[in-house]
Amino acid sequence: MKRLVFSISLLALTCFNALASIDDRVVLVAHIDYDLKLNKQEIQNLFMGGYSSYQLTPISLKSGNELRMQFNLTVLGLTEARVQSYWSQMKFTGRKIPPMSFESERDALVYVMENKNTVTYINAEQKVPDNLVVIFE
Amino acid sequence: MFFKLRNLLIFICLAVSGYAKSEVSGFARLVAGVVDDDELEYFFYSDEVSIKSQSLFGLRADYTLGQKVDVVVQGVAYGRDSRSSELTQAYLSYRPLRSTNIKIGRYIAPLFSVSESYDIGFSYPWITPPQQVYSEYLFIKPEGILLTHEFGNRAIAGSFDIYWGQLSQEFVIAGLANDAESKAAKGIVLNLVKGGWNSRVSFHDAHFDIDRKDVKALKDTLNMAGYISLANSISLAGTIKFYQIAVNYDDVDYFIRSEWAKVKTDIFVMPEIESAYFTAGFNFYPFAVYSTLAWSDYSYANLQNTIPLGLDPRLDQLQNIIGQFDDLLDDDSLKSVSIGARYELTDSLALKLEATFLDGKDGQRAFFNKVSDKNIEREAMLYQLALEWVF
Repeated sequence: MKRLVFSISLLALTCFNALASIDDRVVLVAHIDYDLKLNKQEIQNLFMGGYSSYQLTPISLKSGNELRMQFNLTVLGLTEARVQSYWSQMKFTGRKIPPMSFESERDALVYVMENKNTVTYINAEQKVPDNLVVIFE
Repeated sequence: MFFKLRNLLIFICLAVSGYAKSEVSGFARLVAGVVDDDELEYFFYSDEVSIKSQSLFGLRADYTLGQKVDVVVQGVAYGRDSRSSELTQAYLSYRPLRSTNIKIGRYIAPLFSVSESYDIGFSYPWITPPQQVYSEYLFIKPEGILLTHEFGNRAIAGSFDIYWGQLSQEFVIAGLANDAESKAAKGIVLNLVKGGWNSRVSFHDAHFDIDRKDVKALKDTLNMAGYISLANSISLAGTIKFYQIAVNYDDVDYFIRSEWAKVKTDIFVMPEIESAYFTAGFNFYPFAVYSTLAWSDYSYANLQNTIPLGLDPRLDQLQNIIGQFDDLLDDDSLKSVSIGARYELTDSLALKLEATFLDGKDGQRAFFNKVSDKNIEREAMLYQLALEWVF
């Protein structure tokens, strides 16, 4: 029993350390030609399929991506597990569909640069391409 | 009309499957459970490990017909012998606006927070959602229309659902099967989201006709014997009103799930129910642990057995039958405490463990579907292990 508790503690600690080591600064960039600043609630609505008065299409990253995990934790305020369970509920009730997602940050950014009215998240240290507008930081 | 509509939708799905953009997805649950008492069975779990009660496999097909229209068919095969496999959803979805969705066809009425996703164990923390609130007979699947509209501003987001439909399905209440029909089941749901908080208020009502041959025969006999008022008090048609409030919270570290429900009815064979649960949990991804407290208070209308004893052997027999009938409508008042854990094996596969202490009211059915000895205490531990999968 002590071994099991120790193993579980070690695993939890490892996961915690892995998360803690990720740079926690995420900014959101949109392919729009006007200035716009969204608050956390509006970003949550946009990326969780809720109501949004802006005609913006969210672009996400695939599960397992560190930046996605960081976006979930710091902006959506949810664990990856909760995000996955939420989308399973939305999908099988026919209420909402998850955002289109890409394997890499580069692919997501290229897609947003090529498609107007799309929005994605990038690492704050990354240079924002000229034709994109920072809408949340 | 809507039964035909459902068949038409299935036909459309088959017809367009070669032309429309389609997506097939699914979900499965493998749930093993055991009760630590050989005289009690709870939710079809006995003192022998069983995987039949809640294991299931579901498939869903979405056919996209243009930007605003989809046709959806979802079927589920259940492991339990007493539960038939069925088409749980078959509807046409139309989005006239980005914030508005209309479903026409067969859908699951959104009575509770997880009514529509009850079969998707991956979507909620428990293995068995608190049975005191999530009584199986309250999972109605009308055939009609469900409108969802979303709204919001910079501070809050919300949605409301309005539905109307007809339904014909079997209700199992206190272990007894009742064929029920409603020509007008309707409801309204308001959902508000702010940050990690999600609150939900809903009201539903339906007029039901219950088809129970044994009860009808009893009513006829009472009428013939001149006990018209007693016969009338055993009502098989009437209204069910359902009220529900839920408050949920999620953040990176914690979660809360809470729900209260009340059922009021004038149908004799249906219980009046007040029930609630409260779940608090702690996340440490990929693990989550939680504890749930749940309770229910069930009651049936009192039957005034006015038939005198000792006047006539036939009346004595009738009096006895009424007494037995009243005993059959057994209450389901139960308190329970659960602790559980969830581990994300992958982003679509979760392993869950749950232990529940069940404390039923003495002398009642208390959700135990088998009580060997009426005099024993309705107390038991239920242990469950589950694998939840979506694909």
